[in-house]
Amino acid sequence: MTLRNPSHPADDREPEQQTMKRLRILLVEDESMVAMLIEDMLADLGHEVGATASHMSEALEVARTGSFDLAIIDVNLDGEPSYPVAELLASRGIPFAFATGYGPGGVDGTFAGSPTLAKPFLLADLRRLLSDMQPALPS
Amino acid sequence: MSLDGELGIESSAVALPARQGSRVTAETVLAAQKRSLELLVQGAPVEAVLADLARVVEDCAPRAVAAILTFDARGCLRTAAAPSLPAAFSSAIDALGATDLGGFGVAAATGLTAVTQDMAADPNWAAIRPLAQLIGLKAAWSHPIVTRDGRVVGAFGTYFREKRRPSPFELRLVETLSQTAALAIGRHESEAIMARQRHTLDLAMEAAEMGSWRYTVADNICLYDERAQRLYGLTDGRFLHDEAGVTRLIHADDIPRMWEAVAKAVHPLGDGRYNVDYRVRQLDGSWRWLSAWGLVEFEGEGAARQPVAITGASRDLTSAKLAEEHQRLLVNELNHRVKNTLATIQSIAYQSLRNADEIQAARQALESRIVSLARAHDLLTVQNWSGADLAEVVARAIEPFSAARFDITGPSVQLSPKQALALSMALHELATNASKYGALTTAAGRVEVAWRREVGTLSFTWRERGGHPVERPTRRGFGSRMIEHALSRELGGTTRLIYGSEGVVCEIAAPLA
Repeated sequence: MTLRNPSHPADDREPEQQTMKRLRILLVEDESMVAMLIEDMLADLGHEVGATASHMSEALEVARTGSFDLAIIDVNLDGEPSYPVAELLASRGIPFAFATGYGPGGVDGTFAGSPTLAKPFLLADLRRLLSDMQPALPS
Repeated sequence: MSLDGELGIESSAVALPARQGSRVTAETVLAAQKRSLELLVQGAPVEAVLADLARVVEDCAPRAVAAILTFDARGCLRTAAAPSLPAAFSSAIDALGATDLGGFGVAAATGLTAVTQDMAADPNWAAIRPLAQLIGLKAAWSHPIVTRDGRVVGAFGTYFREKRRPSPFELRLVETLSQTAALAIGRHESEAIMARQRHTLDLAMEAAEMGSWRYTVADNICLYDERAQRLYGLTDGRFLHDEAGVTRLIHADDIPRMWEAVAKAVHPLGDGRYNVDYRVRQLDGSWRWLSAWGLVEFEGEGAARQPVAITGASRDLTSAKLAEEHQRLLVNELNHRVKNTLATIQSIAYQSLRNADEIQAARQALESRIVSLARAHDLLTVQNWSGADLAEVVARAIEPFSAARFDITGPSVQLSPKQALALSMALHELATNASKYGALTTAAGRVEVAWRREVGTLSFTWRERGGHPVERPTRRGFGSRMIEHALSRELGGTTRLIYGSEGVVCEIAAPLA
């Protein structure tokens, strides 16, 4: 198994990355440019973006039916909180992390303790997040 | 026109006092003065008191007619009371203004008694003489009305129907009555000053939209004026400031802050100033933000002093609170937008550099993408970020390229800010590609940009003509991903890139809101 895409320079990769299994990830992000960035970052970390949803209805549908190891969810979908998506994923036992542009206090209510990425974030931040979430993943 | 005709005065109309000749005793004068003082104490209008004083003179001095003049707001002497003189005569006197007021003017100006035994011979009376003659007044004397603090506030005038001087009794009588007149005028003046101050305060409170109140510690009652009652949504000006009352009136979240402000204000060693912002319940159950300021009145000194009352005013703070909330939302929104923009730039940078073979080209691509994003922001700012018209988005995006080589046709279509940004960036990628590899590299090449509305759908086409044949790149770069993924996501539609024999063709179909 290779985690490196030969066409990409092995710029800031660290050895710990080698130990992570290839994950199938659901990305929920309404900003298309940001979605592209996270897709690229995940690809560069050797993971697979199983689906990218940019709207609530689409996200709920994919979260209900898709098969993923993990999800990264933007807190805000066109001005609407994306917590219903998180609830659905939680009920299916799929671990998730939030991405938010609202800073550290950007996630509230029952999800305040969830893993969170503050936008904009670095490749290393994303890698650390996925690595920290690894224990939660079904083996 | 004759003088009497002009003034409407007929000699026969003049009613000179008829109660003359009876013996006047000191008791009569005292009784009369007592009556005037009673009027004064009862709060009768100053004119009524002065008219009564004038009548006392007319009752006690044989064939005398009295007139009392006071200063008006502009400092001119005017008749305040002349019960036995025709109104037209008094009006004529008043019309003379500050000058030519005969002995009245002299007495008021000098503060000394001015006696004119024969008005016909005294130049001081020249202006009044014709009128006086008309109603049979021959002699006059005036006594200044001086307050206890030495201010001249008017003149007590007496006319005689014969040429004579006042008797010593008459001099004493008028001097005594002038003191009563000074009291009446002085009280009237202070009342006027108080009324003006009340009026000023009232207007100021109205202008500032403030209501005043006073809380007394002894009975735990707060009294509200009418405006404060409206602000506090109260139907009664008396409010018992106990726990039940406070809980009913003030928002639960604000009550601790209110008590804290009270505790600070009534502290014996504090400055006695009370200030708190809180919400109060209105009659319709809604909440109104108020700001209250007060000052504590203490009894005693130092650490032993005790608060007695708090007096203050409150002002509606709702609009300021709304503005504050609006400001907070704006800052939040701005923060969100800035974060998104930074994330977009991060995305552009990441993708521009990710597959870069050559640093110079990557730098140029990155720069021009950021500049095109900034240009799209300008367009959105013009419309306050409510959106932008498709035609303007196209015009602005192709402006840095050979704009004359574009054929643009399409109706007005309103795009959301996100759609406008995505389309701007896509058009930038297409135009950059056309000028590097496509139709804009040949002399005759042109780009046709056309769109139309069909039932609920926008059909948009970018078609290069007269360019070189182009081929789908082996590695998908930023531009093609941007168009095929990001743009179609933002538009909620489909995009298709065709690498044709004359250049690129891009077809977009998107639902219209």
